[in-house]
Amino acid sequence: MPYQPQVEQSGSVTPGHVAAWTTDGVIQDGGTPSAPFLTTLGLQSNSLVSFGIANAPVTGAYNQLGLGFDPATGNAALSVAGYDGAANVGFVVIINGVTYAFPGAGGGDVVGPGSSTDGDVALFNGATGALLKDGGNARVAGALSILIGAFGSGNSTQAVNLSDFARQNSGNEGWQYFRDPNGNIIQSYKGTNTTGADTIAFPLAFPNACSQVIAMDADPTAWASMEPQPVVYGVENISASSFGLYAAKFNNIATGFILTGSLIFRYIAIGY
Amino acid sequence: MVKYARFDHTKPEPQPVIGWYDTDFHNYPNLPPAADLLALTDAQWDARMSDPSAWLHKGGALLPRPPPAPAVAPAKVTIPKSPVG
Repeated sequence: MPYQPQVEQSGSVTPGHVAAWTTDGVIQDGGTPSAPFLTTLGLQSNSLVSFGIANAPVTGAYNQLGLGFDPATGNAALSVAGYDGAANVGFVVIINGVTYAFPGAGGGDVVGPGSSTDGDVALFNGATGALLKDGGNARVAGALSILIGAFGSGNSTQAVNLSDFARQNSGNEGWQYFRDPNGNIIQSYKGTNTTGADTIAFPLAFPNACSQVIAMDADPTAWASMEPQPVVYGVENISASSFGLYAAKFNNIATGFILTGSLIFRYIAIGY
Repeated sequence: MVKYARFDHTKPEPQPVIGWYDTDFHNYPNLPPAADLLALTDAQWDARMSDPSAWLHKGGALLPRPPPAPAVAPAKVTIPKSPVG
């Protein structure tokens, strides 16, 4: 005769509730959220939804809150999804009656790291707009004020753009151009004059004005040639786009300084 | 936005180029009048770096300035003797 287990029921039961052992041979209703009896529930999970809660009978459209492990990543997963045509629903965390949407709807509620360094700046972590991370050092003891907007930004309170540290250059002894974020500009160049009284055009005009140009000889080895005299340079008529360069060399025959062309010069100009 | 060479249109042609403007790179609050500006191609803009002071404008074209004529040696000067004091 096959074994016939003898199980007794303790108390009344409610359809749809799980059964829980009361003691050996006795079961009773597993309880409700407000009057639980079941003390442990163990599941062995290798799927995304090993424990699922649906908001409707599974005969039509429904949403499901699932608990399990994501097979794709192996990570533990709490998931929400709509099935059979159900519209998607969101996920909220309710703590002591306060509802927190997840992910945050941009209302200022964000999730940060477990710890941070006091005074460091916070950066968004990823593109969700809801996660923060420690951004590193920015430990300002006092106020960090922006008094002058970034050059060219058109915004009087915008901080510096790295692109405002503009630079153009063309190698050794070539053109060098540097602009700081406040619009101060330095450019240098090496060229050859024509007559000794020349208009020298800057490779790139200053936006407003050029305040100073310093020019000098760029071929000093020629001092030791046939006419071993250095060249005297002078600058005048400075504008935002050019300047007048005068180059005079002592001539033994004429016994005086005369304007001379085909001389190699270099200059540094400062403006804004 | 355009790159320009500047010249003085009141001078007879060919006029020397006396400025170079990149309006992509800079916002020029006082750009010269349009009559003094020649819009450039990128190739022309890059070519200016051979010598920014060696270009001419003529009839709406940008031309390299011809090389200068060979220098002429200055005339010999007879230096008078210093007066005997």
